[in-house]
Amino acid sequence: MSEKHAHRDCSHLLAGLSAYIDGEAEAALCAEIEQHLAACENCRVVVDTLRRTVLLYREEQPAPLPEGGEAAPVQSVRTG
Amino acid sequence: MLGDEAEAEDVLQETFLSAFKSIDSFEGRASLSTWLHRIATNAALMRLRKRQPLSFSVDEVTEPGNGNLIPKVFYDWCCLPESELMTQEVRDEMRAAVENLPDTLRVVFLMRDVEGFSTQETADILDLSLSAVKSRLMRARMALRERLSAYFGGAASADMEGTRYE
Ligand SMILES: [Zn+2]
Repeated sequence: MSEKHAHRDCSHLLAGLSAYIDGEAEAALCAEIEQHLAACENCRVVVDTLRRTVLLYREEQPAPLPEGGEAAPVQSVRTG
Repeated sequence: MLGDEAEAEDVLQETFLSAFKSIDSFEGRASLSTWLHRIATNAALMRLRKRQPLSFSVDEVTEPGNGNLIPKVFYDWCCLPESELMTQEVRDEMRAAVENLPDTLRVVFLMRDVEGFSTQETADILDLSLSAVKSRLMRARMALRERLSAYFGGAASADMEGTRYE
């Protein structure tokens, strides 16, 4: 947090966070987000709680889809 | 031409019916998951029947700004113990949060995160571009996060007050 960083980055990166938690963000964006997260506590909380939100709803899923439906990559929502 | 369209619709419908066949086996569990599946099914079937744009079909590219994306609550509830996250009250809040989403966002969220369809499948079924699906999913997730954060944040400060006055 002591590191000076531009808070305009927050809003700039927000749109990418959803793809980021799915592991679907492009490498460059991914790197940019991770660099920002290291310096920005608020965005870190947003990422953690966003990921947790998605997992909460997915945990409600009672069973895998029958054949034919390709399941979204649940595993790629990293918990760490 | 009309025949082709009707046929395509039948195929889609069939896909849905088989995909959602599993619902029946969970009828006994009057759970949030049952409810989520049911409204996802309804939304999808309704969409198939109409084959017309959802209530407002403005493509995401032309949608104004990211105003509704800006997070306001930064309460960090992500590491609360399971026992506090999976209560009936939390489920009620989760349900209310989904109900509160605009139709356009709700259907995408349910198909992607609850039913587990891929971005491509969701785009095909709803007649949306891939970027529109991604954008709507993002907006839906951010809105749900915001509401749950406010809920858990409120619960946390209520707890603290409780302790203080006891
Ligand atoms: Zn930030």
